[in-house]
Amino acid sequence: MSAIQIAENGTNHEFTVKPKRKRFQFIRSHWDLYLIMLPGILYFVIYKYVPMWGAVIAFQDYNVFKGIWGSEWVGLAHFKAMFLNEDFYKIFRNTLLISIYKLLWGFPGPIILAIMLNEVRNMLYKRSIQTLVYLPHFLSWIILGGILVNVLSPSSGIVNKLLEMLGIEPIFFLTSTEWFRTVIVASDIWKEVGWGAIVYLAALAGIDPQLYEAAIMDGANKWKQIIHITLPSLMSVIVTLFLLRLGHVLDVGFEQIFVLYNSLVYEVGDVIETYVYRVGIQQAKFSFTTAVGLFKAVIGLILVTLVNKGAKKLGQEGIW
Amino acid sequence: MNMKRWKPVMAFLLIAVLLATTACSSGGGNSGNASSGGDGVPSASSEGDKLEKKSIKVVYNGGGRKFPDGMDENNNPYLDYIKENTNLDIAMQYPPADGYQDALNVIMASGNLPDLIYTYDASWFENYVKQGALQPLDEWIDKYGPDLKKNIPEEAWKTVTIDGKIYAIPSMNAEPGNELMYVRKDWLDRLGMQPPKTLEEYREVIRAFAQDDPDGNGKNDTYGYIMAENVARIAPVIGAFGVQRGMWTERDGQLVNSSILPEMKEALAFLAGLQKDKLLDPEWMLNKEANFSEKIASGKAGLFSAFWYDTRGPILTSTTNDPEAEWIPLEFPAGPEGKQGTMGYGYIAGYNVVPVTSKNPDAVVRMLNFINGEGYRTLLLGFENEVWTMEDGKMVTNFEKHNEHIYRQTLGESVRPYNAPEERDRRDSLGLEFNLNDNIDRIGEVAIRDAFLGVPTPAMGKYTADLKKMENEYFTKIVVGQLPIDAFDEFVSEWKKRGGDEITAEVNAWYAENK
Amino acid sequence: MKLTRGEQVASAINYILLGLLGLLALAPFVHVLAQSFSSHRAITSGQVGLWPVDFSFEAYSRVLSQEDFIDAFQISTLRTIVGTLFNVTMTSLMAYPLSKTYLKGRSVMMFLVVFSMMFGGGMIPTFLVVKATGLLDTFWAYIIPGAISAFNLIIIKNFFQSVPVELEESAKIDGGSNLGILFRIIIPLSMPAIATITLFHAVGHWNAFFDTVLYVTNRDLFPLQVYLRELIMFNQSGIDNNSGYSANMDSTLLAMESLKAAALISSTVPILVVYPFLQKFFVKGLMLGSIKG
Repeated sequence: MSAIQIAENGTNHEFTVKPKRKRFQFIRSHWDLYLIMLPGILYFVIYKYVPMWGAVIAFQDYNVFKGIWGSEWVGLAHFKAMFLNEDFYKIFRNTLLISIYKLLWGFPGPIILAIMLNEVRNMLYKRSIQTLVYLPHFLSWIILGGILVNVLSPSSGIVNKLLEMLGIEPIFFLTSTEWFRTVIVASDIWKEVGWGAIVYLAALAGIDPQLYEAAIMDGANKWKQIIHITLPSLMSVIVTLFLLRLGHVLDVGFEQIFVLYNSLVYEVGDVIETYVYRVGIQQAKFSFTTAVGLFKAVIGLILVTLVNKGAKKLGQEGIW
Repeated sequence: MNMKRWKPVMAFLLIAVLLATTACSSGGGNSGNASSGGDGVPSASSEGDKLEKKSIKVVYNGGGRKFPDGMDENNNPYLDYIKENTNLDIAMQYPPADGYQDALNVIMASGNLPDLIYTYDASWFENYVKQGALQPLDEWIDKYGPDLKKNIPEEAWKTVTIDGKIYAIPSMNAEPGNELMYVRKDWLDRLGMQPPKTLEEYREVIRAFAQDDPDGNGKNDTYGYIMAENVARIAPVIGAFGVQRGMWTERDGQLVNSSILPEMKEALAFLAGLQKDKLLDPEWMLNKEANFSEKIASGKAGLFSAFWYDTRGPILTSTTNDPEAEWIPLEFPAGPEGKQGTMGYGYIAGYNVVPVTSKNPDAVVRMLNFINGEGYRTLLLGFENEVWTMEDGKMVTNFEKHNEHIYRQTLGESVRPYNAPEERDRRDSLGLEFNLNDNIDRIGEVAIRDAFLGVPTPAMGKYTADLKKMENEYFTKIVVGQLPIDAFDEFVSEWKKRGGDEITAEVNAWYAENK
Repeated sequence: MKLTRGEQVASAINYILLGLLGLLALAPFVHVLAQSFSSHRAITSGQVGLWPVDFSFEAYSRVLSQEDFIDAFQISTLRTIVGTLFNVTMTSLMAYPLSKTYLKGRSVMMFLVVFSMMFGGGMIPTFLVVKATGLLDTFWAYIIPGAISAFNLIIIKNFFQSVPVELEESAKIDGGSNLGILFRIIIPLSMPAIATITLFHAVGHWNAFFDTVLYVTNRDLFPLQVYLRELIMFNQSGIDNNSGYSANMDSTLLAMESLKAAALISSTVPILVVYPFLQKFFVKGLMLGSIKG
């Protein structure tokens, strides 16, 4: 019950800060719009914002049994523990590098794929390929990891057999510190590119065909059509997804790393998530895990806010 | 989409809705409802009659074991068997096996606590004792747990004693340790070699298996020895140097961690030598369970450190793949000083704990005492004359029934006695051809056991995971030759610096009290 | 419409590249499929690639005949249908007002939505709220706590915003209410986006498992993913078995790799089938058609 009370206070609060009368009039004339939103707002308040006070356990020595009110306050101790860990710099660097590579190579992947699919005229072919490319999304990393180990094996893997035919020495991809991140990024693209393309396909479906017809009349070739019509039409989706992606810049995908890394590549493969897993599994370290999550979220929030501002300056919508 | 095709879907939906609503409504009511299940049926056991009728709520890990159709965790003859003999009403709850520990944490946070929780996580146990969430059981064990006291050894009780009080009833490990060496006798015979005994002889066999074409196919496609990721499956090899990874052992009256002893360095040097001469599976550092077994089953490796039950796993697959394959167990390699050894398990497999809010610790102990004592044989092996029969003094298992009744073991193993004779019967019943008891006996003879029996210390909670990772990293790099052998000394000082010394101090404080 | 030579070449390359990508994506799936029809022996000795060895249906007959499988399958289906409907409705209702740039308080709300994506209270506080709202151990624990995904909300809002304002204005002049406009104009025009989040939510519901661990104790409500994980877990033994947790030793003979593969296929194929049905909404020119119609 208290949750609902907070919800009401929350909404009232929002609309009563500024000049009262104008605001009130606006709300009165658009009351139905606000009413439509109400279930959604209640949902966010109850299931997202009420539990959020739980984040204070980052500053406590949280004891499940005693709860948040009974647990002891420890200030920044958990943050200190994280920053003072001798490996922290290395772990942070790895996380950032893998994330940036994934962003750099992985983010454009679905856009390119969607455009490529969009250029296919044969509907059967288009639909079949669309259906095929999203299949790996449904397989877990445990399965794909097992397959990758076999495919990349220096003695029996097909990749190294191909390299051998080209006269290249077998490469030990998964234990080589030089290759490990490449494998992580490439296999992530392989798994998720088709799935990621779906949003863009939806956006492409919304483009008015008349635009293309007009362009063809003007003598624009395919390439020009892509540059001048397709890409600009996708731009707002691209910006939105990019912003949302930035918010999770320090999440690199625990399961994938965990399945693929091994003691020879800890140097380049140990990331924040594997670190938290290691520390967290030892005990139910809720406070520590929360502190790390808070840290990641703050970094994400700063990035999103900055880029959102930048995007707005460049004439894009931004998220808020 | 035409309507006809949707009809069954709609019908199905309706049924599903009905199912879900009935499930919901019944789900809410049954918690903590004392008398409804008992029906006042007089108990079969005369002993049961004397004790007060009580009802308890229990959270166990079902381990993914399936129930026969129509039965579930609260509706099966084995639970009835316990209820009847203890005059208790027991409500079971099995959270999803994958995610069990998470489920326990929310159960602890929910305020709606059961009377008994089973966990196999020592840190979890220690953590909640420290938080004052669990109650001591000494009084009740004295009163209602004669079998528990008899069947659980002193060392195990030590492990669950914190500040002088017993906070859990432990379930014992049924096996003394994990690994022993297995070799393909047909390969030895083809090369005219004898089963190796010393580490030197082992090395010669390893060399020959890698280089002398032991499978006789004219190709260089076999490995001398095979290990697994994080330098696993080496217990007998390092055992030859008298150590095991991560184990605490006594030196000059103090406990020290074997991972940092000079003997460990020698053992690593031995393995690094094998790697240098290209005698190992070159991809061992990536071997997980699946590819490890695959290499054995497909005839790439003929010598490895097997789990005692691998005779029913990869070794069995190997012999079905290749009728010529003949595997035999080996004597543990004797090291330079004649030592032998393998990884010994800790005594404890799991902890039965009672939250402070429970009003029925006595009933919990009554139940556990029955499972651990009188009821153990049935709960482990299944009902006599249904799952198994005695024929000429030997136990014969009906495997179909055994699998159908597999769910009983959740109950049986929850509070397993130490070295119960039933374990031997059970292992034999799985097939004498697998030599399970022989494997266990061989391991039992040389298993190196941890000298630290306390609950994990605070520093362990803080540092162990990182230290373990660092150890894996150094050891792997040393064996594959990315680091020289002397990097081991660097590892030792890092280990000490990064929390190892702190842990050692705490371990010795425990040792001083419990020697 | 004629293509230049250069465009023809580019188009051919495009077809080939897509074909290769398709095959690359199909391969692992075929591998698992082949395993599901093979014997345990063949799989564990590494003989199964893209074609079954020792072909048999045994694994499927074992997975599918389990009553537990059927029960779990029903729960998952119900959850997916009810849950997705609920998600899409809630999301659309909230996204529509937020797509109105003139709405007061809009950007604050958008910020709060984005904020909630990054900062969460974590497992236990969320659990306590779910408990306080009386959802524990009910089917609704699967539906309500995940009612709206901020990510999908933002996507949908974005699409709603791209619907030409004129269409709405004219509808308003005709006396349409906001709700009417949403359902008669905005949603039909945003079907590709609706189809997208329908797919996202449906897959999410189908694959979800952790909310069961946290919120549901009644095994009758366990979905397919929990069944599958328990089956796999039951058949697993670790490579580094130093813990002594060899409880499932008895199952090693049953540890049929093919059983795992068959369970995976049986649980994945039903959700895969959803996509082709939604695909028709991704066809170009939909917008024009619906405006004229």
